[in-house]
Amino acid sequence: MVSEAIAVRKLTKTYAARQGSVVALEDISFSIGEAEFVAVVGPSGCGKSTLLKILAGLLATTMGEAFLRGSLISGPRRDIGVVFQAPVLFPWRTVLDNVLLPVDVQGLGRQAHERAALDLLRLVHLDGFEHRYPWELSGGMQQRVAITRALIHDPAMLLMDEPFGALDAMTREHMNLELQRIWLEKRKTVLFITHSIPEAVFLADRVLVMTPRPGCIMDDVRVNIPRPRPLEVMNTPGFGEYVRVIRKQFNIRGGLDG
Amino acid sequence: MKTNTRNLILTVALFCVSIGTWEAVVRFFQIPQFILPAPSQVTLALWRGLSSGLYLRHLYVTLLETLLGFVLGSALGFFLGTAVAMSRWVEYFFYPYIVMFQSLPKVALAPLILIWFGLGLTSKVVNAALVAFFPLLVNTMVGLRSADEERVSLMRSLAARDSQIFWMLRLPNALPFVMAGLDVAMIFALIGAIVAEFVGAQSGLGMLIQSMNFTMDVSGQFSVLLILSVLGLLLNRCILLLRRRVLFWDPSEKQQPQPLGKVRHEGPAACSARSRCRAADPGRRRHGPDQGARRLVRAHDFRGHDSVRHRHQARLVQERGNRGRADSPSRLDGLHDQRGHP
Ligand SMILES: Nc1ncnc2c1ncn2[C@@H]1O[C@H](COP(=O)(O)OP(=O)(O)OP(=O)(O)O)[C@@H](O)[C@H]1O
Ligand SMILES: [Mg+2]
Repeated sequence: MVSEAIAVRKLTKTYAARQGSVVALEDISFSIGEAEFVAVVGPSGCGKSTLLKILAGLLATTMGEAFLRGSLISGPRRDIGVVFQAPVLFPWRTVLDNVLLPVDVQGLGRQAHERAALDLLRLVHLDGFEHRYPWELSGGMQQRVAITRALIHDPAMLLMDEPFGALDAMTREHMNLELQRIWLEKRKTVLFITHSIPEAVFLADRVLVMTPRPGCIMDDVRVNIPRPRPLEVMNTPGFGEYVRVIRKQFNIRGGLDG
Repeated sequence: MKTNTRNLILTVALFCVSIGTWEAVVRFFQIPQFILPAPSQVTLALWRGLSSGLYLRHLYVTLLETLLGFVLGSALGFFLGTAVAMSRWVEYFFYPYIVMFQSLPKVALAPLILIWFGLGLTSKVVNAALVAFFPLLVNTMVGLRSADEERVSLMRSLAARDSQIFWMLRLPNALPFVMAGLDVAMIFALIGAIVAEFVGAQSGLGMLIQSMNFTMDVSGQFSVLLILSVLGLLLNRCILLLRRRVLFWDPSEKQQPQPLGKVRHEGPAACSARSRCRAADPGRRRHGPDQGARRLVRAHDFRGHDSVRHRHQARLVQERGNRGRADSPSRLDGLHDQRGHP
């Protein structure tokens, strides 16, 4: 295969717990191409976050292996950016300093990246807020800071774990538009985890559909809707068909909450 | 503004009335001076003591003992707390002894310390430090440990070294706790110094009180007590100022105690711009603080200081979101968390 950004081979993850072990992921295999936007949907507890933590190098696999750009994942690495469900900002750092956190940690040189940070903040419409503290920002603004922080060290790929899960519906749609815009500009490989099927279809080139626990991938849907996709695309029959097809899989397999 | 003025007037009036009543009662019932002196007599004693320079000399000694003990005890508490928090090994072997030592009434130690360190300054400083160190130890420990697991994950995902996680995350995160610890430690140091002076000293306000007790100079004692409480208040204020400087980023720091007559609103109708911003934030409704941390801190801190820390804690817990909880430190198996009990 040519230029695989992420490759997962027969991956199984078992959590050892006191009352027996929990199989979170079972025999998962997939691959994601360079600059591809892939969404993962699945019911709660099916192991989506587990998958992301393994790819981020935060968790070891039980069996099988995962590769990022051809090299085996054996720990955290510097060419990825992670966005969690919560913004996870540091309250003692200003917005700008929060964005520059990866730069500080990885010793990339503040001077060189401050310009880039300001440009990125402009990209997410947060110019003018760089010297504010996180608590002065709304939830959506904080999440945009988190996205900016994930981009500052110019990682080859972005891993996002339900980044808009805590936002209200309107902010969420707005953030989807912004994320699409950023992606069109930066063309990173993105693995985007979500509960929402419409969100997945709206954003992704491909949607991986996971089964309930133990999670494995039951379908891989390619979304052929031209970009940039306006919000109105959600009202078209083509879009509805994608959502329907994916939702049907959960109905057969016993439901997706929400 | 109006309520503030009214409150000020009320405060002054209340003060005058109670002092006046005290004076009147003492005069009316002709209570002997060696049982309860009238405010006028206390004021007189205070004036005599201050103008002769006697009080200032002893005040200086006590202040020096307190400050030295505070610095020494706090530093000790901070470093021990850091060691216990960062190393399971240290915790396992040493923490039980530290707790055992803490359960000991320090007053009972003072005579021994006097034998070991003599009647001079050293014994007072040591005693003050011993009393002051524990609140700092516990708070530092809890503060360093309470770093939000999602933030730790974030740091790790950036390939941060453990030392970077300590300096960039755990230490700043512990600061509100440390400041609350300093607050208690300062008062404890004063208590420690006075207690040691009671047991045996050549100078200091505690020694002064005791010698006045022998001569039945009760108004003198009252005047020294007054000085001591003002001293305690001032020291506390100093810590408060320091705290404001250090925790400028902590929004809960800026919440002034509400004056009487002002009801605090919750929700979008709140008065300040900040609270409005907070109410608009969906991810920040307040929840109860971490139960474990609360229990630990409460057990050793019987003044009300933990409110700030709790608010901070509540915020952290909240920001962690629902999902982040799944990976509590003990369950984060895998590559990085390989600390365990020896
Ligand atoms: N640290 C852990 N220890 C033990 N079991 C765990 C741990 N983390 C997750 N699990 C289990 O693994 C399964 C998958 O969890 P995971 O967090 O990956 O689910 P998820 O798909 O992200 O769910 P959600 O959509 O609700 O976030 C769950 O059943 C959970 O009980
Ligand atoms: Mg999850």
